[in-house]
Amino acid sequence: MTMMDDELRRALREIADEGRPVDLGRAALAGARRRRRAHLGVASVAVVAAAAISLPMMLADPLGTDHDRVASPAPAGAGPSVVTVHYQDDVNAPPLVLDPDTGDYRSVDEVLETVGEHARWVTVSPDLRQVAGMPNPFRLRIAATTGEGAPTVVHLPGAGRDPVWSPDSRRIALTRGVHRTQVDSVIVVEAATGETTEVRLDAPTDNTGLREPVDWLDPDHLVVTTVDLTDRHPMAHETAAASERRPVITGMAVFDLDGTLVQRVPIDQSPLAGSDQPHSGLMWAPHSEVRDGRVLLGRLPEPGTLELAVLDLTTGGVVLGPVTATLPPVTLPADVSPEDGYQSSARASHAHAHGLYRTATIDDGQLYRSPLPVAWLHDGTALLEAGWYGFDTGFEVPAESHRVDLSTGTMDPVDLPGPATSGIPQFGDSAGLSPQARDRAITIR
Amino acid sequence: MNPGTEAEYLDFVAQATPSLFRIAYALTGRQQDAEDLLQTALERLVPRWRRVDDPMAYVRRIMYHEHVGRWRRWGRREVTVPALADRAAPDDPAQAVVLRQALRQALQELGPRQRAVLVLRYLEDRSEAEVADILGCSPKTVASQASRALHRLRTRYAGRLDLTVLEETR
Repeated sequence: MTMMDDELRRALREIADEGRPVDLGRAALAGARRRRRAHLGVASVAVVAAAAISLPMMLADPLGTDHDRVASPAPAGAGPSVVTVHYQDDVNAPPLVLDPDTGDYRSVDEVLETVGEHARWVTVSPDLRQVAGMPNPFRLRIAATTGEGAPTVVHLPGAGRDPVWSPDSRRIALTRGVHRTQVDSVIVVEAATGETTEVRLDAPTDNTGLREPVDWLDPDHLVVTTVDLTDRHPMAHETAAASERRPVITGMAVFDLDGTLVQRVPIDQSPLAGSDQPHSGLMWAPHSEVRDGRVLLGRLPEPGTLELAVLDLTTGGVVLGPVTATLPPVTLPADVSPEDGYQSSARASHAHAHGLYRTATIDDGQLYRSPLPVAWLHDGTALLEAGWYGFDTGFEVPAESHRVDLSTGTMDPVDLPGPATSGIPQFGDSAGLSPQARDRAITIR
Repeated sequence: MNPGTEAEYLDFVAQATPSLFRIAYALTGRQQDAEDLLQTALERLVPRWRRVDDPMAYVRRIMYHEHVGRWRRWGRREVTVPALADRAAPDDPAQAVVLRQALRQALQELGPRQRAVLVLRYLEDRSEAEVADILGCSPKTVASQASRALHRLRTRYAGRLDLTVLEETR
């Protein structure tokens, strides 16, 4: 035993002793009851509604007379995209957020006034005027991106995650779920007042589960991914453990803000589907990629290729694509220790796509996986941002980013501006910037 | 839960909280985060109260998994320990205190998984096999994580604390 071991033990004991134990029994009981009510609410309403809703929902005009609320514009806006949130290379450094008036980037911790802790899940409103972030799962802070005024501190009714702004920049939806990726309910926050409402979603009962991501179809409707709970398959690699198997994605479901199911969009009606569809790794683009009633979808049908398409959520039809692009081989500059005996020559030598993940085999034999995030830029192209995550070792390494022309499938490398290489940068439309800021802002063109 | 069962549960929480909170605090390093982490784990216990043989082990396992998974998405880490003062001289009797300060700072900068491994290995004195079982990974991964974490603890502050010299001279 070394002196280091002794000192480490002592330091950990000292830290552990500093906590002030709080009796959380009753709070935990109350929290568990809330979860149970959410489950029961979903189940009971769904049982009653199933016969009336589930099948006709696939066939009828789901939004009824309000169909026109979903516009059918060009696939994407014409303006250049602007990076609204940078995640810095230094993992201890806070994300940077764009000031739309000046074009400057400033620390999000400064804007949100998070004292002694970093905000996570930082997200900027579509109008670029507000930024939200979470210092912990029970708090949401909202502030003006200009840094003016005091932030609004929202005490969430339970642990939330993945905040996403409504298209009109008035509300924020956060996901609640017992397990990662599972959606039990959605917390809707009024940005102006901080008022919260927990929306319990009326899940279908035909062995359908609700999964992340939660997004907004329009200011009055939420979109959630649906999966078939009876059909599970390995997503990452052939030897995936049972716990790594995922239910098959079947489509999307639209809910109003009361939690009522108003539409289901089955993926199997789209040209992206095929006989091997359940194993093809259909995926969503990441957050805020539902634009004007359309969603960017992608899948990795075989190693080294990527298919992207834009789906109209009102009809379930593909309105753009699918296009096929070839994923470039990637060499990963892994930042790992050369002295621990396990990562002596860590360097990615091979990369391929399989299921939802790109995988790379490192020289030490470990498998690294990346969820291959795709961002939908305002000029109609898609951006593949390749931040790699070592699932077994817990660190991220940067890799190249590429832009895909959605009309041709052409893929070109792109240098993300600024320091954004260790996380997924967020993008907004620079039309919201002041003329002065537009000249100074870093844009992806 | 009926009133009798609820009383049993609350009694367990009252008895188990001191030791569970130590783990939660060692994992998070912050009062509020420790409370959130422990409460989340205790909430998960409620529906399984009648079926779990060892509720202490169950809550402990949930806390480790929750801690590792909670912020995995961005992999962001938190630093709450203030910057260290200048390094003490090698013969300074206060060096041990400075060393522990540095270790604490280094611990705060570790990723959640590496920190969890160290808490299990050095605070709970668990074997690699036990750590692997609790975290749901292979013993090799535990060894790799521990090795890398210790390497980081040594190297990131080596210039300030000269740990190698300290180990050799004591």
